[in-house]
Amino acid sequence: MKTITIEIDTAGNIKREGFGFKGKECDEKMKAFDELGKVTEKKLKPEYHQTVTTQQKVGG
Amino acid sequence: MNHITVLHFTGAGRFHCDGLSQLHPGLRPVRIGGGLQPGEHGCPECPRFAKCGMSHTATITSELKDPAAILAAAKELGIAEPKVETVQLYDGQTYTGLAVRLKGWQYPVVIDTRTGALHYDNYGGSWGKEEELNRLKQFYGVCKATMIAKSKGYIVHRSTLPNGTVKLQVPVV
Repeated sequence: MKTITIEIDTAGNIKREGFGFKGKECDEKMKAFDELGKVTEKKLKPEYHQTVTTQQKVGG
Repeated sequence: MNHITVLHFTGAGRFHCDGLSQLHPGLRPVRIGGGLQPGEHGCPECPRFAKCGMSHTATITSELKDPAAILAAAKELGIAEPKVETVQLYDGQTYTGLAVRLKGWQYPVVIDTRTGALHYDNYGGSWGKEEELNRLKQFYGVCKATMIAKSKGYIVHRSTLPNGTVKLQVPVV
């Protein structure tokens, strides 16, 4: 199941993470939560790299 | 403008990304997962970072800009409903905004919701514990995220972890 998890710690720091998404869908669904504040750190998740590799093969 | 991000994978769990390579030609491949060693460069420096379509985790610094979420957070904290006021702090400066009266605080916290700026004077903790302000920020984040999710028609599952962190799980269809 596709899920967005948001954790807010006791200092008010927010961590947002997507599970079960592929490629740009993650950004599209999470975009709504940009209103929470300023994104200060963003990390790629390894499970999506294979999808990008596939796109690269189709395009190339 | 949309970019196609081209990744080239190498051994040892690393990859080259053509976005970051624009800035640092000859860059050592980036480690999968984004962790950096001293002296390494990473995604936050990339010119495409803000619009990167790659799946990700994100860390966000909350900005208290939504009056409705501030009111909801105050309700959860069991404090008086914030109202727009002009407040004079100890140094004589006056600020206008939503005035939040935290538990044990001598002066209210004045929030300028246009910018998210917080104006307060707790005299380094002597006139009000920093933890109370952090709790306001935490519950603002909880309330705001819940409001956003519900506005999209999503159901929110809320739980509190042993360390006090509030976890929201939002199944997305």
